[in-house]
Amino acid sequence: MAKRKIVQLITTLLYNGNLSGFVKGEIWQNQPKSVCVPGLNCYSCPGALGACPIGSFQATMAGTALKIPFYVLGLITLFGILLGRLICGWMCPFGLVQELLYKIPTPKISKSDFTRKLTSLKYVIGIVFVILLPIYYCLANGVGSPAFCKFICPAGTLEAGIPLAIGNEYVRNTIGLMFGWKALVLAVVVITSIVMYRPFCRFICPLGAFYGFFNKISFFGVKVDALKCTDCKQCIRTCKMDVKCVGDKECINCGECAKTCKFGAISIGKK
Amino acid sequence: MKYVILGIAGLAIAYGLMDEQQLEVLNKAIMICLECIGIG
Repeated sequence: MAKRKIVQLITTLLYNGNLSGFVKGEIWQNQPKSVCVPGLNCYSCPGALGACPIGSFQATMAGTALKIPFYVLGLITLFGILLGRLICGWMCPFGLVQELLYKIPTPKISKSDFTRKLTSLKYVIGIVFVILLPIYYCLANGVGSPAFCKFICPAGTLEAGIPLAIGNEYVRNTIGLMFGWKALVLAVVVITSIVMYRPFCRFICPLGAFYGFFNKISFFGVKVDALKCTDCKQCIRTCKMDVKCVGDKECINCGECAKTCKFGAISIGKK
Repeated sequence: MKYVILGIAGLAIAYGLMDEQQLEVLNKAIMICLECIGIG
C-alpha cells in the first residue's frame, strides 16, 4: 500500500481512537477533546478524540457572544503555516473516504476550466456558512448555530450522524427533516466522489480553503527545484486537483506529480 | 514571513487559552452536537 494511504489510515485511527464509542453509541467526553485535530473530523463522531477545527470555530464564536475564537484560530493558523494543504492530502479522514470511492471503476469526470472556476465556491461557503450565518443566528436569536455543520458538512453525517443514529436510541428517536437533508448532501458527495476526484475538497471544504492560503509559504509541502524544472507541465496534467502550478492553493501536496516528473524536479519535504 | 505567522499563531493560542470562556465553550461542545449531526 502506498505510503500516503498508510499515513491517511493511521491519521484516521489517531483522530478516532475511541472505537468503543461506535459500539456504545456514545462520544468521547474527556481530554484531549478540546484540542483541534488538523483535518475535518466531526467531534460528534463516536470515535473522535479531538475536536473539529471548523466546528470548534463556529461553536466558540457562537458560545462567546461573537468573541474572536483566538484559540481555535491560532491552532488552525499553526497547522496551516506548518503544513498547508499537506493536511488535506495526508491527514484528513474525509479526503481518504473520497479517494477510496474514486477507486471504484466508472467513467470519470476530468478537471476543466469550469471545475477550476468552481473551486472558488469553497471560499463563499466558508465566509457564508462558517462566519456570517453563525454571526447572524447569534444576533437574531441570542444563540449562535454552527451553520456549516448544520446544513452542509457530509463528514459529520458520515462520521457522527449515521453511527449515532445506529448506536444511540435517543438520537435515533430524534431524527428529523434535517437528518434527511444531511443524508442527501452526503449521498450527493459520495456519488460525485465516485466519478470525480475529491469534489468536497475541491469545491466545498472551508478548511481546505483556509489552509490553501498557507500553501506557498508553509514550512512543509511539495517543492519544485527550479534548476531541474523544464516547464513541461507534466505535473499539471497528472494532477487531479485544479492546480495552475505545483504547490498553489489548490494543491493538496499528495506528491503524485513528483512520481511522474521525469526530471526529478519535485519533492515533498521541508521548504 | 512564515516565522511571523508562526509567532502570531502561537500568541493567538496563548491568548485564547487565557480566556476561560472560550475553553468552557469548547469543553461543553464535547456533548453531542445535535445540530452538527442533523438531528431534530
